Amino acid sequence: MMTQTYRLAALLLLMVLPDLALAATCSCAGTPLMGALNTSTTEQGDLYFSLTSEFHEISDLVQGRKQIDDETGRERSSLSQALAFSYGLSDRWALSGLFTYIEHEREVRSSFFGSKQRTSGLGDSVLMLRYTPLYITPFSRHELSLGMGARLPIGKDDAGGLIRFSEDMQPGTGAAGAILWGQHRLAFNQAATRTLTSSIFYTRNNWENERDYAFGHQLVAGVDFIQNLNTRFSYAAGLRYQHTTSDRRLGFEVPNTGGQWLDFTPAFNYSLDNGLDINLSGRIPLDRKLDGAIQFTTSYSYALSLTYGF
Amino acid sequence: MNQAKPVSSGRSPIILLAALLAMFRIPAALAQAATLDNDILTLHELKVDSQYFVVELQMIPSSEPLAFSLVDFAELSGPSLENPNLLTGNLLEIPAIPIGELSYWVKLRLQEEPGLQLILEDFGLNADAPGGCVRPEPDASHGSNNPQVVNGFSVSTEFLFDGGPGQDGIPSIDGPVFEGLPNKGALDPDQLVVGVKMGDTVRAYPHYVLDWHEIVNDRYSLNGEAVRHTLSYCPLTGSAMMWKGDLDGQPVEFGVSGLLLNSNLILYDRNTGSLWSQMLEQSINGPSILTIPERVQVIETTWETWRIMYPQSELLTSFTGYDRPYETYPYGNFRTSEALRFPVENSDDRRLPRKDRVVGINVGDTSRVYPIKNFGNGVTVINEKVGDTDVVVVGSGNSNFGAVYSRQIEDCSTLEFSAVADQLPVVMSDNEGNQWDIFGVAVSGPRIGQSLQKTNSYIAYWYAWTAFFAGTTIWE
Repeated sequence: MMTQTYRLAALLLLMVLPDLALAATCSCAGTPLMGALNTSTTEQGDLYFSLTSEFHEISDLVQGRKQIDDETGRERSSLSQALAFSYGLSDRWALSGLFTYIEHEREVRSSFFGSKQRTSGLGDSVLMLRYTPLYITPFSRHELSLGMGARLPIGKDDAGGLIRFSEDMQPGTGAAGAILWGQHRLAFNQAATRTLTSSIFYTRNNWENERDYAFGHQLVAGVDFIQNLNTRFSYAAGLRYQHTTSDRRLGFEVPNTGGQWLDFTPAFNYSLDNGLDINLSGRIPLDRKLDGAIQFTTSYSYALSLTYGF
Repeated sequence: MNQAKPVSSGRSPIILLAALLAMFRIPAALAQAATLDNDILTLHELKVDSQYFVVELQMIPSSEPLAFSLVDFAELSGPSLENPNLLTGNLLEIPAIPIGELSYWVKLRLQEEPGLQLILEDFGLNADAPGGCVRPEPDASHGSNNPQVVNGFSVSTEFLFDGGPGQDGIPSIDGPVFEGLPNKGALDPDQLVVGVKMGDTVRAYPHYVLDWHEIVNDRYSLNGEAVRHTLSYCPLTGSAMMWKGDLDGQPVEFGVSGLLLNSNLILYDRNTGSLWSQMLEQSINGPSILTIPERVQVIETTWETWRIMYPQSELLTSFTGYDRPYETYPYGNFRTSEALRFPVENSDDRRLPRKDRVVGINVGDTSRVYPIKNFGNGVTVINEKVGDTDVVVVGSGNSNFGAVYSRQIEDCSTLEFSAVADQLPVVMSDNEGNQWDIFGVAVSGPRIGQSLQKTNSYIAYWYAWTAFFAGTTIWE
């Protein structure tokens, strides 16, 4: 069983790796979906709902690795509300879904007339089928899950009315994407109160929206150490690596998009008696290497999530 | 902005002087507001506020520009002419000076330092003079003269986009710093610059700085007065313009709106917030909608060519007050690839590679482009008609420039031009024996000092030109 599982994992990696070699850069203005997706381990009939609110500050002006002064005082942020569910179809198969509502804001403080723009609307959705061949049990300290899905462009991608906003200010991308996902959990003790979770999430954006625009392919890999202090409280510390290729219009690379990011990702979780979990997490940039001349990119982000299981 | 004159103006004191000399034969007509006898200009009636004077001025020999000194004056008891000479502020307007068969209007500017002088600022033929000819003003609009305004815009909004940075997210340069007499190595010889020559001031604005700022709000000293001008350059469409910085008589600065029409820069003015399409050279939204800015000829070429033309040129530096990686072109391989950054109209018109630089002209509904690379080596001159206008196109492939002027000059005659090689900035001569520089100014010959009439023309990338002006023809 183990051998078969690792073959599956290797296959997944092989599908992903060729794009790493071709990767270029990223604007990182797209709304992160992975963090809000509920990937809780489920048994047949289990149903989880989670509501995540994530704030994303995207105001660092970076040339390659170097942060440079932005004398224009430009502030750019996104706030996303995500409703996610996860349902156990069987003990090994589960279905996860995600619906989002996105608000973008941009302000240039040095602007002569005070330029502040806001857009909002339904964002993209995600539907993913997960397979969990390995569980953590008293006899196994490994858990492996694999998933496959799609990003569905049901959101709004024409914000702005007469003057359409650029793609990074649209709530939705307007184009579908294919998603591959894999996660491995290693328990350091039999009670699994200390675990190390490694995950990989890949989105392939081969399709263009109606303005001939396609976002870059995105790979996110993370490793998180999670410690349960007691039955209620746990904390996590992790690293998150993201690699995004350039966006494209009409098949041509869009300058100043794509790149690599390495973030520190702390999180805290508190479980209430009634089955409600409260999770607070954040993202703090450690390093980044962005393609093109300059890009505005993530300064930090934080999220508050409530999860309820039936 | 968009101020029409009775007829086109010229700036040649020599021509005026020549005409003035013809006055020997004409006795002073007292019914005229002004007459010229030898070097004495008599203003028979000059209105200053509510007072009237008779004034005698004397031409200052060898003055450049032509200047007059005050000889004598006396107050009159009251007005006697319907159309007297007028002194408003420091501007003296003479409606008519009869010279031979013709009649000229003249504007002189009062200058108190050093010594009281009146400097020739502008003059032109009066349209109603017997035997006078009126050279038509060029149609100032690129495209329709009467665009329909829908939802507050005079253009279709289908290809109107927010580019991403937001208003002033790309900061204009409002206090440009120039290097005087830069050495040849100050810039890579092949780097493109936008060149401006105004009065005695010659300036080059290099693309590598403009790529990051797109707009320079600058000032030029004209007749001792600092006059605002705005230079704009759109890196996505490769087009550069200079507009005079006044709006309804008020000084104005422009900023980058963050919006794009057909991928081309939309400026906003900081007086009214109106939006201005750079390539249409017209306000397309806001209180100034449909206003056309007063344009100044620019020449876009390589630093090497510009240095040969104007070694005295100042060079805009990257001391802009902003921390930007000026050594890096901000748009990757955009200027050499077929990539489009934003959707544009007619994007399937691939008769030329998208980023080929063309010098294009609009005359009414007729549009024509001349690919710079097609000019070949040396200087090429084309005499032809575009729409109803006789134009001369001058360009060079290896020196990388192109410009279009009207061939019809002020007295309505049409010149035939031919190329002049290896004498930059002189690029052409005509059938009268005049030699003309790249700005269309006669530098030798009987018309020395005269300027060719500017046309609705500029350099841009081909894809941008055809996006704005469908049906354009290409000079092969």
